[in-house]
Amino acid sequence: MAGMQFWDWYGDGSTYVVDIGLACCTLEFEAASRGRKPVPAQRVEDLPAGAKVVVVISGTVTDTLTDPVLTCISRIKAVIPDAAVVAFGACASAGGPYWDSYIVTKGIDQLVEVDGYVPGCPPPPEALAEMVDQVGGRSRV
Amino acid sequence: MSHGTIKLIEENCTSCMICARECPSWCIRIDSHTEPVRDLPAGARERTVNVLDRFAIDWSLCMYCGICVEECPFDALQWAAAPVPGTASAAGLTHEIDDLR
Amino acid sequence: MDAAVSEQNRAVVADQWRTTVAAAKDEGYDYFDWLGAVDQIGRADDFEVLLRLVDLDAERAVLLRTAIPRDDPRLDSIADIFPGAGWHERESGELFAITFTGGDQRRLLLPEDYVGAPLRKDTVLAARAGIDWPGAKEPGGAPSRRRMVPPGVPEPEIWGDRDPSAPQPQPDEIAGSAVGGRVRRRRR
Repeated sequence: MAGMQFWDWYGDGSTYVVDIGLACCTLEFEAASRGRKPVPAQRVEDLPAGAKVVVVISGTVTDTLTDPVLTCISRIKAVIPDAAVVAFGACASAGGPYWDSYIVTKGIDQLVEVDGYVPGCPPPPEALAEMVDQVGGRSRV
Repeated sequence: MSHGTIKLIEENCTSCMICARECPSWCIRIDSHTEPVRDLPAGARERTVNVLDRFAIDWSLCMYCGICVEECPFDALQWAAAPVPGTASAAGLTHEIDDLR
Repeated sequence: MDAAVSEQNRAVVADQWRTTVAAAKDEGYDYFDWLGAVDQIGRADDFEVLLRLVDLDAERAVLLRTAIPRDDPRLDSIADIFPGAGWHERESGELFAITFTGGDQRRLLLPEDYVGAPLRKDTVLAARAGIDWPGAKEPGGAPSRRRMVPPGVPEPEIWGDRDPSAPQPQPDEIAGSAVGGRVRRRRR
């Protein structure tokens, strides 16, 4: 598959985060990843064994894009079954303000199991960092 | 002033329903009932007051437009800085009166 | 382009569309800005198609507008005159069910199996009609003496909860009701 941009989130090779950037929330992901280490490897198979992977869905899930989004997620989970899926922002969580649209899936959890929901329109970058801490097992909460 | 979340000042709310009606995302749900006003002076006609039973905001739909804050005639809704935290379940994104303090 | 651009509005008869667009390009309006459509239901029984062209050097723009009948919405494609119009025609074409004759008939954004013309005003957002509006409750929980119907949702008698033996709603009744107007059913 075409390359994906993984981020070595804490810079220690323990946790890799990848963004499926669909709409505005992806800009907040970019802010959250600023200063963090991008990974040259573009395939999930090339990540170190035993690493935690967090897949972030940022933005509105339109019906037309559900197949590509699910393909990305399932290819990652085929290699890393315990990869966490995070719905970032109101749209990815439940359709957001576009829940009434003729072409919007009301949240990515209609199609895959989601481990964390981050509300916001958009959420601030700190909210994503907190959620990665939580699903990655580093949260103090 | 940072627009991270919206807080409810419960004692100001009169259950007028304006915020729920103006919200474009339909993310505010309100339940209320009426109760008679007690201790009225002798001879006064019976009066009732609205009592708020439930005030919920579904943060998975809210787009932070702030129309509810602007429209409330009683200043019962206000912006606050700290963003709504993430949760492990979608149901956890609906906040009730106690979560909105 | 930050200087104020002088704007002109020109109404065009639909069968003169191509010639007028080509002539405007020759006049110097050779930068394609956008093409779109407006559903005029409730005001007129047509779609208005609008096209903005800009003369960048002279800092002036022209908005060309034409009207096509709602029950037979066809207009000549101008995508060969302005290639940039191709995607705009495909988008307006699929969202309003307008045929741009001679142009690319492929869908641009909607899935292949999508049925309907979502931007027509008689297309109802079913999600809103299907759930209870939180604003329908009265303060204090009193039973509502008048029915509150929110913007965007037609009255149930017209769409959704209609008496099956009543006549089919007309598109303009649906559109009129969805914007909050009271629709009196006429006997047909």
